[in-house]
Amino acid sequence: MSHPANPPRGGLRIAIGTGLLVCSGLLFVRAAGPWPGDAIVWPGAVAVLGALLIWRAPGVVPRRRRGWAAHRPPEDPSLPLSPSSAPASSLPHEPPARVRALGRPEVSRGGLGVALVLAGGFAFLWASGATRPAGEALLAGLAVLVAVALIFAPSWRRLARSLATERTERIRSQERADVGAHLHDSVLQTLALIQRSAEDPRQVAALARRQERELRGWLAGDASHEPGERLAAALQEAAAAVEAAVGGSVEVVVVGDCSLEERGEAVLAAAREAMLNAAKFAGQAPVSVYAELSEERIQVFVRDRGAGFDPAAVPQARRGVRESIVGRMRRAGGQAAVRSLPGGGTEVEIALERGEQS
Amino acid sequence: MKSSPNVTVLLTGLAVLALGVLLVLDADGAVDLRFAYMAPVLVGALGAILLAGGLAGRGRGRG
Repeated sequence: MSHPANPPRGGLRIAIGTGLLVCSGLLFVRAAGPWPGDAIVWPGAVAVLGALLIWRAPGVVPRRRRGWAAHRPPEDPSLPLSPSSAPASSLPHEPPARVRALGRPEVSRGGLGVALVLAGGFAFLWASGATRPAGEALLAGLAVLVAVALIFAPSWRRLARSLATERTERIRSQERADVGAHLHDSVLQTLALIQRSAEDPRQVAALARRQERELRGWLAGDASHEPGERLAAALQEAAAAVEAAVGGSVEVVVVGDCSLEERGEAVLAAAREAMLNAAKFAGQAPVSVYAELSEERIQVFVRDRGAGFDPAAVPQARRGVRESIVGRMRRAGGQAAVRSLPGGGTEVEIALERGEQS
Repeated sequence: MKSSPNVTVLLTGLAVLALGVLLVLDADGAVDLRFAYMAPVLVGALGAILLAGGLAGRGRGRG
């Protein structure tokens, strides 16, 4: 399977060959037949080539992949699903192909086409003498531009490279944080629940089966929610799943509703994690969830009356609150605050402004 | 095992052969080769070779 962004096999040779054949035909006509003039035909040919490049420029944005598929390089879809069996090229010391591609300057086909069309038009005007009156001023400006470009080109190149490297590092670290947060929410939480239910083999088996299904779906890149699903329903569903997994009761009150798109999914995942933590540590007391949802703003409060904890005393190695709630919301462009006191219960506030996106 | 002929090499050979014949005829005085006619011939031959190579490569890729 070839990736859509890649040119088809032999495509470049076919394009150059076709261009040379057309060029050969034009040269024949120039030598033997009626010829409108170099000033018309050659600029016209360059402009037509540019127009072809613009028309053939890819305009389709690839569908966003989900789950582990979003972290796999698109060039090689046959890559093994297990990271431990990945080939040497995807080991941590070498960035995956997608990340490498981000650090490389890309020549846009459409941009090249626009440049060719402009060059063809300019060549036509130049050859027909239309630019002669402004020729001297144009030449002086061009000379200054070339001089400036020659002086500053090395520093521009260094700047572009450092920006690309910084962007690559940022994307890589964000992807690592996303994978870490997902593994924490799913596998680590399930393992903790299994430890708590060690006396009940049926419950352990049910937890393991549910986790296996979820992890397989995530590795395959399946969407966890249907397109068009609403956040209110998804929050109710998440509360029911937490009740089924941990026990206890989670009371949900939702005011308003909004679509569950990518950033809404981050809110849902953070809220689910907060509910799970609350249900685990609230004892017999119910967990209350209050959500105010609109297309402009999402706000979710998860409260419990459990033992509470000192957020500052949580070890660095524990990622539940730091990465799965606060870090996740920060990456999604929102914020999360955890208010808790030993003996005073816990409240998690999750907020996301969506005004600029809708 | 039956091997299919390499179209690119075949076409390149034919082009070189034709060029040789033209040069012989020019040296013999049978034809008068001028740059205005030879340039498109050479450019066209190169284009045909590249096109054939690209199409053959695409055909192999499908297999």
